[in-house]
Amino acid sequence: MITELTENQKALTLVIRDKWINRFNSLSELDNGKTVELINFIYEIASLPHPKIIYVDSPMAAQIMANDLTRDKKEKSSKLKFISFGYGSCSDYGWVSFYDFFVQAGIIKHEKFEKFSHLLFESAVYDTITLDKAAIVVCNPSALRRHPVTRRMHCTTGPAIVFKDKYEQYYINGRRIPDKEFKLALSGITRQDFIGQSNAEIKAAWYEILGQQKMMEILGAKEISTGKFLHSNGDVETVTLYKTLDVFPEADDKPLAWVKFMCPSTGTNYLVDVESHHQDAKKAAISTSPLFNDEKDYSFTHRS
Amino acid sequence: MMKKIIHLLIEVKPKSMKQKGHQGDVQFKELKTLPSTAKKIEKKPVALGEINGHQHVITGDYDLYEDQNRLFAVIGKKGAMLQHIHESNFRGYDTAELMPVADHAPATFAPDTIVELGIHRRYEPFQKVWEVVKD
Repeated sequence: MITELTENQKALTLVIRDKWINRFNSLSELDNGKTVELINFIYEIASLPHPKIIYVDSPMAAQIMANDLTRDKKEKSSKLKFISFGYGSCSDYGWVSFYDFFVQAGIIKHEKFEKFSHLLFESAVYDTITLDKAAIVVCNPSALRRHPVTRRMHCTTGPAIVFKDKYEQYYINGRRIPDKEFKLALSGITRQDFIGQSNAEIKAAWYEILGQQKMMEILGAKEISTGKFLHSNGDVETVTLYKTLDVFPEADDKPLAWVKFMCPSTGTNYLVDVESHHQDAKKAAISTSPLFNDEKDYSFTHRS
Repeated sequence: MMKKIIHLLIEVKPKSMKQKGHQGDVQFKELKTLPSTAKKIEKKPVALGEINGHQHVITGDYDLYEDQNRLFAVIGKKGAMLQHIHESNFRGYDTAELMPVADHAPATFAPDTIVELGIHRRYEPFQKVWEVVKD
């Protein structure tokens, strides 16, 4: 049994990793011949006859097609039911690249896997829905935008992923944002929109789209204080307290106040509402905790 | 020698330092004892996202308890994890399997410990109430 990789094998892990990542990022045109071979091979492994292959331009088009093919004709509802995507897609690149290393390093040999891996790579299929008699094959998107550092799907000016049939989705730091909420930020939100929005994820997306300066202009707010926590795991967390310049009769003639936190996993900034009496960002931040109520206690062994 | 020291540090750290932290909006801290009035409840996600189908869920060897809106996990001998996953990747509460991470890395809960969990909160200035952060 191998217990340690050689230097050459370690170098090969990076080559294999990049081979599959680059394959996906290239957003290559689908190879029809290899796709037919791939799909037929998957059905042969499942002991099923070769299916009819239907090509579509987006996962949404695939769902609509799969619903059309599987819906009971007596069924009146036109509501889409989610139908699981199948093997033979870019979502297989993770596990296939893992075993591809062992094949390329000469550690394992498996004819069927090697054929699957080869066809998967060459076909450049984005996704599949494999039904008994038909396989729906989705082509690669035409555009994919990511955060330059984290590589999460991210775009503050438009959709992060666009398919050839114009189906698109919006993402901020890897988190999907509803189309309506994203477009509202681009067309111009008001302080009332922000205050009336109860979902922290949407407010965080607006902050990312508009930027710190614009957001503070919209809220009519200014920075009051900033502070740093040194956590037990070595992280330094910066928090900032903001307050509106105006006071609000419905808030007992007090200003509105927020603390800005940054998520250590996604890098997203969140403005979390706090009571307006705060002058100290750290105390205001601790007041939002459900479990910790003093700075000594607010020192974490885990942050993600 | 250095390897040995690091090994010793890793071994000692969990015993000397109480687990406390956060995974996104979910915060947790280790307790010495479970409140005597806490009642065992059916396992459920600790928090559910409104938009993305993401959830924070404890998996592994544990039981879940509740006491007046407080939530506790009593961790068994095999330990447990707080995982952040998409609901479609959920493989069951009892599994020790690491599921695909949605956004936040898993937090490990040491065997034979008691952990309290809570969700980050925000102040609603017009109703003048505290409520849990929704995402």
